[in-house]
Amino acid sequence: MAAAAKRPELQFGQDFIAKLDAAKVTRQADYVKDPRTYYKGQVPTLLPTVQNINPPTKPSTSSSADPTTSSAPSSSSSSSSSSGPSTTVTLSALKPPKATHSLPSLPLSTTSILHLKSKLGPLLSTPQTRVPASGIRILYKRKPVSDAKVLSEVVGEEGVGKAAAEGLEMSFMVTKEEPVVAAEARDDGEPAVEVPDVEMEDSAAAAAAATSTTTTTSLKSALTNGFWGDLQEFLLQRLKDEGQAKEALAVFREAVEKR
Amino acid sequence: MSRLLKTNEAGIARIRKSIASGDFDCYAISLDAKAKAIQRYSKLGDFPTAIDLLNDVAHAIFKAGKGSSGGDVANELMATYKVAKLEPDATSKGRVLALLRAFPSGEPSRKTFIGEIISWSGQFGKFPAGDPELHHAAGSLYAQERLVGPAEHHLVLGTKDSPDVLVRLQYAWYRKNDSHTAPFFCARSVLPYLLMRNLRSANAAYDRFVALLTTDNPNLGTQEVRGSVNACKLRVFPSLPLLNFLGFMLLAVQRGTLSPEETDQIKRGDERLWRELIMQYKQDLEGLGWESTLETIARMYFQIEPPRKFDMMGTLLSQMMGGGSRR
Repeated sequence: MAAAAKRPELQFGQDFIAKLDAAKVTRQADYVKDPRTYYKGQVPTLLPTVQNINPPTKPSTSSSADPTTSSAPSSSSSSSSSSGPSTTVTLSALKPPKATHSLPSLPLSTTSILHLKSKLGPLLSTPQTRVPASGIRILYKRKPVSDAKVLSEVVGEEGVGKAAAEGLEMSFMVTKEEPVVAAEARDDGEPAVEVPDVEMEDSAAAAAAATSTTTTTSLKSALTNGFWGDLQEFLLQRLKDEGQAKEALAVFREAVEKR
Repeated sequence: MSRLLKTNEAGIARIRKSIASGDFDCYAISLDAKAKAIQRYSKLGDFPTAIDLLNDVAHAIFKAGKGSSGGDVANELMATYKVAKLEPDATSKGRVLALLRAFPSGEPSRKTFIGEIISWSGQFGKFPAGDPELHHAAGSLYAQERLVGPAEHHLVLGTKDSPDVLVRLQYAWYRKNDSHTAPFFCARSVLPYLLMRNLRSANAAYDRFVALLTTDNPNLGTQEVRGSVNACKLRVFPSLPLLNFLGFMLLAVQRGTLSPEETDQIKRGDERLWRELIMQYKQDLEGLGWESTLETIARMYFQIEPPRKFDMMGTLLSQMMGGGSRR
């Protein structure tokens, strides 16, 4: 351990690896501290920039990615403002009944899996049942892919060109179907249907109702007679019109009955 | 009250008609949409309609090429998310990610937006430091634009897909520099992940960087060293000592002492491994500015406290307070 001469890399390496090999492993190589235990607003510690280093190059021109930097991250999608290359995604059902759906002209760099699901959902729905985006699982090369990913991330940088030229094959599974409920079609924007939203003073309830479509297993039993009375009172106070209040109440009640 | 609803409905319908026709003034419509959305939720308690309106208007303005007005509306959307106490789920996150990707690159208000989506997800979701998927998306976007600092920041807090993006960025940067600088660029991914106690991503980053380096330089001399009992192994680069340092460090921390935070039972590791490693590479490490990082790693993975520095102010203070335990 004399401080003078440093042992050559290989000699040290052979010696040190033997010690590592003999020591007992206390942590697995894939150990991760649960990110839910990070503290609020935690900022990672980064290394200081090394001196005498050339600065990172900006993508040279906005029009075309530099062809020489093949290792640049998703170089082909560097122009995030415009759509970049597009592809056609062919989705085939993994389980019977057999079904294949084609979704054309999807920009690779901005189309997320969630977007695919929301496009696919209506295609799978029937008059009796609808398939929400959350009830679809999409697989690429037999592996499920998460909602937040965009197509260019799914195929990887090497696959972008091929996907743009030949299209993309993926498969899907339906994990959840729901019976069609009249009052759920908030998107239509009809005033009659808009009324329920007004009632939802409680923001949490409004958010929950708007974002999740699976809340209602025991909704009916939770809404006892007292509830409807309270609601009518509230509506009357709110709308200041007995006819409208009664009408709205009927709409809610009918919707709940139907679930 | 119903009159307010009617005028609000009419206002929203008018805005929707203009964005559908594509003929609108971006600035004016951004103000109008914000006003109608705020009215919609504050006076009428209807968050979903307000959120949809802001979302669609922001997209329409981005399409028309006015980044600043679009960003303004997008940030109003995040303010609405927070008032609504919306929880991060597939829909709410999907909406903000689509908007994030719609921002023109280089638009200044995008930075605010990214800050807002992270703080929203931290406040109302399960991840206090921000949702990893959102970090990954933001970091990937910065990486595409070669904005190293912000890309590193978000990718270090990202998902298990993040190391790959981060290493590709560092590697592209490395290629603009001398070949012997490789370890510095590798360390820029490996050490920050280690500091987050994310051994998986640190290892993934190291492996990825070495793979890129060796495929890119087939003539680079390497030799594998391997233990005889448990087949613990590493590829040694005789010409890149600090790269070996990183590789050995990743193996050593797997054999450290567990902290009380990690386990109930005391699991002692071998801290001599750490000391020997640091001793061997002492000269190579000089002047890199890694001291505090390595001290933190030693404490985190081996429970080794850094040598006490002479701290005049602290000593004086503790003496004045009368209860200093000076050793």
